[in-house]
Amino acid sequence: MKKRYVLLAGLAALPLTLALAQGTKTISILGAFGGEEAKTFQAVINAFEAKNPGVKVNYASSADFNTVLNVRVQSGDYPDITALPQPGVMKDLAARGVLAPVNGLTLNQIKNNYAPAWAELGRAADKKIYGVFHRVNVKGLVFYNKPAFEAAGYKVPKTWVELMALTKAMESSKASPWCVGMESGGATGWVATDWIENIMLRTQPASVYDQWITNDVKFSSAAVKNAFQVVDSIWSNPKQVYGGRANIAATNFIPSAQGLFTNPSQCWLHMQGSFATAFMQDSIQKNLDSNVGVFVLPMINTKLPQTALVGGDQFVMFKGKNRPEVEKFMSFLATGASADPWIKQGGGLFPHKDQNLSLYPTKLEGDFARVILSAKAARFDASDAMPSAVNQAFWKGTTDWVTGASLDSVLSSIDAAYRK
Amino acid sequence: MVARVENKTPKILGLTAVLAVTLVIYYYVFLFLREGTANAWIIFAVSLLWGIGGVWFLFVLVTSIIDLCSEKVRQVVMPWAFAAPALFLVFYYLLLPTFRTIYLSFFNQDSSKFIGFDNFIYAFASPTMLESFKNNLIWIIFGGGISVLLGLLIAALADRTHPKFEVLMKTAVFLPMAVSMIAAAVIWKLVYAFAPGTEQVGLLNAVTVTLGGTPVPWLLQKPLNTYLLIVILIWMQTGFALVVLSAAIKGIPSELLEAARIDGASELQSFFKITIPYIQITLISVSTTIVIFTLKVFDIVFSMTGGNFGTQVIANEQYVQMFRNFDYGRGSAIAVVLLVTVLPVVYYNVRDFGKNAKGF
Amino acid sequence: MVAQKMNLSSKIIIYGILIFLGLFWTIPTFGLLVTSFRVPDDTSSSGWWEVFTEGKFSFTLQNYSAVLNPGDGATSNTAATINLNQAIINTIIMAIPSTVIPIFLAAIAAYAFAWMNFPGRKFLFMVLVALLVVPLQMSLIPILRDYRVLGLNGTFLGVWLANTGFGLPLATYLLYNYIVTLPREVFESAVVDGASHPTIFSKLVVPLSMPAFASFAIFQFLWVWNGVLIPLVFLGDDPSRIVLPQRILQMIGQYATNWQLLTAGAFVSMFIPLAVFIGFQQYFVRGLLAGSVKG
Repeated sequence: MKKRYVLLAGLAALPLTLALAQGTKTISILGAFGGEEAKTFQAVINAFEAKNPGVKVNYASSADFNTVLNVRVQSGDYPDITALPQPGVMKDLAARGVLAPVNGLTLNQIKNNYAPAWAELGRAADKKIYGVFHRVNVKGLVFYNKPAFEAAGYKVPKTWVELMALTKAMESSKASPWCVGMESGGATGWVATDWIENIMLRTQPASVYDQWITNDVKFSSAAVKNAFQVVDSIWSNPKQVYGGRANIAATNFIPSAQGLFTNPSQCWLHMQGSFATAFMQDSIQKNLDSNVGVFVLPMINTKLPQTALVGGDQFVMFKGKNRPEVEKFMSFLATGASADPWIKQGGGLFPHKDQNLSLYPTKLEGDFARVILSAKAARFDASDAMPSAVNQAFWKGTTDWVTGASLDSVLSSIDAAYRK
Repeated sequence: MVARVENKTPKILGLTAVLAVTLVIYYYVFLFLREGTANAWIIFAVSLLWGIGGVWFLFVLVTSIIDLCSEKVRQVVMPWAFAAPALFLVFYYLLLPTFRTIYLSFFNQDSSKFIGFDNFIYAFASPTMLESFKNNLIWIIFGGGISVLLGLLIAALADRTHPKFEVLMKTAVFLPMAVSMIAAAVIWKLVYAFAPGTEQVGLLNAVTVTLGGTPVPWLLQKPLNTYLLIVILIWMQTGFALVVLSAAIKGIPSELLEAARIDGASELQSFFKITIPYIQITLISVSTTIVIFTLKVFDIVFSMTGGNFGTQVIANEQYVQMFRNFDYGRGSAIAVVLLVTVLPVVYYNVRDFGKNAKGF
Repeated sequence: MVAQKMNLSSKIIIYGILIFLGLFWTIPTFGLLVTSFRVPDDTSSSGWWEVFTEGKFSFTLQNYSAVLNPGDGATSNTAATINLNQAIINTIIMAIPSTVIPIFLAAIAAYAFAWMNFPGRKFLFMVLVALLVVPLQMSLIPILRDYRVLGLNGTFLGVWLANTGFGLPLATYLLYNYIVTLPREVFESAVVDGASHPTIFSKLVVPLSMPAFASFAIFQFLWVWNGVLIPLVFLGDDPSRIVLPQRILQMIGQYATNWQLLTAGAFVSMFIPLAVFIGFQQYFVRGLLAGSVKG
């Protein structure tokens, strides 16, 4: 017995003393993105660690981010920083009082280095700014197979009317005008909500869009109903969508992006966010510039100013975790120096004014980044900005609607998810 | 006699000292493992050694100490040395959280306001929950029922085949038990996958097309899709029923079956008159386990359809309310409903407790 | 014994039914296996059966080397490479004690409920069995909160205990059903001989119940091995402690349509449970609950 004790105590003491001797500061970050994206983010971390010796940053992605974040917040087991894809969740966490607002330095950087819209998106109900946006994306882009599109003699439409005429013309070709796929496991529905949001921004003033998020404009209102009907006019036309309406809910969003490049191709056009290039076939991704063409979905109500629909991850600090090194990392994220390592590797767009646009590996990404920087007005993905329960109801509602439920019942059921 | 009792006190003290030292060692082993900075193989070895032997060693120490005590103390304390560890863990990990759940079910989303029975109104009257109740009934009747029946059928039939074939058969049916739900979702997506046109990646649609039909988006077909998800459940848990029931069938004394044959009973008659009554208790516990599993299963629905297309079940709705909608009130209320639903099954099982066994 | 006396036609029917069911059970998994040896272009454009019907098969082991490769060294982030090796080791560290501890505790508790007298015996047993139905997600938050105070979060001890707590009701229920049906005379003579409960348990109950322990062990092992939620919450997201199902889940997020990688990963995660089942096959001959038929 004694022998065992001495042995084990010795074994236990060794690593303990080693750990105490080192004394490095560590920052823990929890995020939703993993795999290749996490690998790329590591380049950002490396840049920070190179400038701040003695600080170690650990990024961990969770396979089921929402569940893990929720459980950890509820039990008080916070990481230092988390990257939230949904502003609705940020506002929710801020309201619960578990977040720490950014400090003065970071605040200044946000004001100088970002368009005002991004600062607003990081602001919670108490008027304080909590979130620093890092990697972002722009939605409402229409992708096409460049060589095939040009070979067929099609022209990029400048207006909604031209777009509708183009799709009408495409109906008689071998491929369908559109590929749409909305299956996404437990998150099925987000593709449809993106469509509705894009149409909303193209038919209604941004102020109505904002009121829609807060439910001051109801889902059952004429404005929102009209957006559903515009989407319906395309989706319900079997000549317009590859595989017809039934295929939309059955197809995963990733293969639907690949439909442009299958042989023979399934469709001519695919509407999605800037991240869609990552879904395309490896052979296409190797040469994006020559394979992929893109245009912004035109305005329907041409009297309105063009407003970009954007999404992105904002980083927030947890209360009591705003140690100097954590604050430092947050302010680093607000500078172009944190964007450049990722820009170089591709697959990310950034809103920082001082980013180095020449670093984007493809012209396509550079163009996207300019869309984001130049957009005078931008609105965040509405469903992600709505309360979590409404977001879920919106996803489920569109899914029910696509698979045959009546529009009115769907709209009123989403309205009901706002519990006052 | 008196001398022996006096001799025991130092022994008890000694063993108690050993117990204390052991606990201290355990604490250091725990710290050592939590630090996790040592060589991976040392961590591996220490973890397994401690994880496997640690609890056993404590039990031996504690019971040895109690054994040295007087008859009276032993009578009272010994049963608790056996039952208390399990009871303590189960009460801590399951019973306390259950009380908390019942409490939270009367509060709003973030548990800040008492709202009476509102969450239960949702749990009993919302369209989603009504759909879930209906689907859960289908899951129990078809998923649970067919799993048990098929397990019984295969066990009974395989008993009559060549032993090598029987092992092969059991392994085949047991195979999905080794598959995680996540891998199963990958497997079954390869079966139900749909694409318009003739080129199909999904097996079921490939068969459909070969037979001259048009491909069908299977998981969207109400109400067929619920049954298609149930097929996955049956595929996954029939192995449990089979293995357990097969062992029970093999426990039937061959003289019994022989006697029935001599009396002129047919195979079917002896199956219903002898086999079934003989394995009745096993059949009940297998059915109970499977019914409870079926009610609690949410990952099949979660990963295949996300509860869309009319396939929602109670357990998945509970998961969504709690971990997606951040609604603790509703999530808790639904959990309470789930709990109450299964209580009759549990009662049926423990009704006869202690009828034929008296302790010593 | 029975087989010899069957006539040919019923033999054909029995084998026919079983072979049909056996095919139903194995074909989906077989598809998984075939897919894991195919090249990406084939898997995205054609079904796995076309390997046989159309000869579309360029056999490759690259999917397995991709998921088992410890990384090319160029990337510092272990979370980003598919390397499943660490996850396999972690899953073993998690699963074996999470199987042994609950079985041991359930066995002594089942013995106490079956053969020992103490106040509240029936009531406590009923509560214990009733807890079978509690969905474990209800427990996650309060327990994690305590774990944080105790320093148990992110430790294997924490996961062992959690798996034990959640597994005990079923383990106790099933092992009780077995142990209670052991013949009473065995115990009576032992008690007359002056044997104590620990002695009776280790000298009589354990040897007699070994098949039941072994077969329940396999089920518990499989459930723990394949469980997602408990390690996700209690082990955390640190790559050094991540377990297999979690890694596969991350792969699904990352390689959603790369069927060949997912299937290879899925097969790697199945390998050890299958080996365990086949290795312990003999115990199923007289397995779990076999004793309870004497009731």
